[in-house]
Amino acid sequence: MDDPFDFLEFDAIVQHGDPKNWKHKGAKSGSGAIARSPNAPSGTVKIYEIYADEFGKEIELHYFRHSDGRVSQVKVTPRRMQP
Amino acid sequence: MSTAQAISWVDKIKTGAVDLSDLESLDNVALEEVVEQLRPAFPVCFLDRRLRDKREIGLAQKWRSYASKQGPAQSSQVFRNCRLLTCETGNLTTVTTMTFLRVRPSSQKPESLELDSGAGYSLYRDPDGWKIKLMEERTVHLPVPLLKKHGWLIEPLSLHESMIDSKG
Repeated sequence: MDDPFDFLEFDAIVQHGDPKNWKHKGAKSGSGAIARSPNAPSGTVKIYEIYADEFGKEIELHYFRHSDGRVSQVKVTPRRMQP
Repeated sequence: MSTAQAISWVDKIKTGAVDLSDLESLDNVALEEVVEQLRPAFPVCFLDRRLRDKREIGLAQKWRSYASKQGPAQSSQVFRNCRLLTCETGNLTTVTTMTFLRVRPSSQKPESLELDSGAGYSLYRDPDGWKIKLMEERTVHLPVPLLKKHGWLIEPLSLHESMIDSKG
């Protein structure tokens, strides 16, 4: 089973610090749903996880989880400000 | 993707000005072709990582190393006008710009480097499609093993005599 942190990009650690220091804050609603977007590899689910980075800023980790445990398109997205 | 389209994207990445209406065409841009054409303008490669079908490359227009009379612990290296490019299965999924990246030994954490990054933006494709986010000015302290795992190519204390600023 892939660890999505292994697939983080350099800009994510430059902006948000060492992932070992991020705090997991749970899954976002919709996480785990079957991926249906046009660029989704078949048989994958979309995962959305919420973290607080080294600066306490909330971010979202988005990626595809394949049925064999691989991950792809692991990206960090800023969390939308809550109203 | 045609060569003309690839060249068009090389120009956009060079200048950092992207026409968002063209984003879908980025799906078909091959990283190796873009990097080859960017290298004359961005000759410094500070990052190169391959992980399965993912590849990430960091380029800069200029690089300079500053020595300090106070010793290597105060020395720094500055990469100016940086581009970070990522591909998965051969096609671009991230184009990031940063005005600079300054690296020096961390005074806060052992076996770590302090990285100061300038502002910029990142254009990336996540599971929901293409997005853009701002890169803010930041200072982080990262362990050297983590940087090496991410493809960092520059030895922390490698100072080239010809590039040393004696005023440092």
